[in-house]
Amino acid sequence: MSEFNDSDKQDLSDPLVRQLSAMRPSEPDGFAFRVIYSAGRADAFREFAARRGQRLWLNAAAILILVAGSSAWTWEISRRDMRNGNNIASVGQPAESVAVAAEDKPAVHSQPVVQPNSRVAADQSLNQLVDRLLSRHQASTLASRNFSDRDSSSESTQPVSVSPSTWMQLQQRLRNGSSVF
Amino acid sequence: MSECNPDLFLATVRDHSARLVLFARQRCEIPEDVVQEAFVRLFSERPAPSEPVSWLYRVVRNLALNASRSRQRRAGHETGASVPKLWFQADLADSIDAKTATEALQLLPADQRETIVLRIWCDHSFQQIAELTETSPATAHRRFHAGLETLRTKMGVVTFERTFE
Repeated sequence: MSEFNDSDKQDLSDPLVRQLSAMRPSEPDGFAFRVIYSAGRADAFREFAARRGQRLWLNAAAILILVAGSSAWTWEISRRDMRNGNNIASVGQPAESVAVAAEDKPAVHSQPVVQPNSRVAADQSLNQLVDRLLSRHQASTLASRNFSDRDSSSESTQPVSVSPSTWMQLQQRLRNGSSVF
Repeated sequence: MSECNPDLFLATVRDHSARLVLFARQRCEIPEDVVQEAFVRLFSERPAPSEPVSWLYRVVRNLALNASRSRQRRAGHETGASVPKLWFQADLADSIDAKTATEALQLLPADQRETIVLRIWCDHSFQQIAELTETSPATAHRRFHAGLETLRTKMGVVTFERTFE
């Protein structure tokens, strides 16, 4: 390997390499990165959903769930919204005030899925939520490739709803520096 | 069970996201999606990778290649091109402007472009590049210099300052 170690030093002394290496890669404008930096804001979330595709949004949502842990938020995403990719309903609104688009079938609000102070239950709930978001991401990718996929009764059509207590626990744990899982 | 430390995770996002996006851009047209997906997987990975940055580069490359293949399969059904974007921050202090560099890099074969990006902006050694791209260090070295010479020609960079041959 010494041959390439020596070569490495020579490579970096090349004037063109020096000039190129002085350039900085563009910062990503993906929403998730901004979410991470700012710990999440509902208005920014809505702004993003309005102008970007659902795939990136879902990744952003997953990262937000994993990292930012904003409390009392819920995500209601219909299969059709995902297919259209431009009308994700009820994004980033507090769970108590979720409005369902009139043409959507009524959202199924789950009961609080964890008891306050129940870390194990919160773990399970969060894991399930992330699994559903990621599987939904995959389902939407499939749907975008195959528009004959009309199985609106599948599990992935159900809205995702998480109790405020789950978010509060998650946020508290992140503040304490502990892992979300 | 080893877990992903949130603080370490955030630091990794902050320090490596731009470089990873540039790297992913060499293989697909949705680099930010790919990098985000990789970060999601990193956070969920159990046990947490012992070398998360190396792990990220490997996952990003695989995801980018998959995305590129998927796009090629769908190419007949889609319209519209990706939005042109500069790969580098515009900076008047740079002796090479971002537009010129982006355009010149885009002319290179993907293997050479990927190697140059890893070497110059991602601080990879030729050994690391070889492991990541599943080739030999000698091939990585050859790709780097072939790409560099093409860049030199395309960008009209004077070579008299070169200190070695």
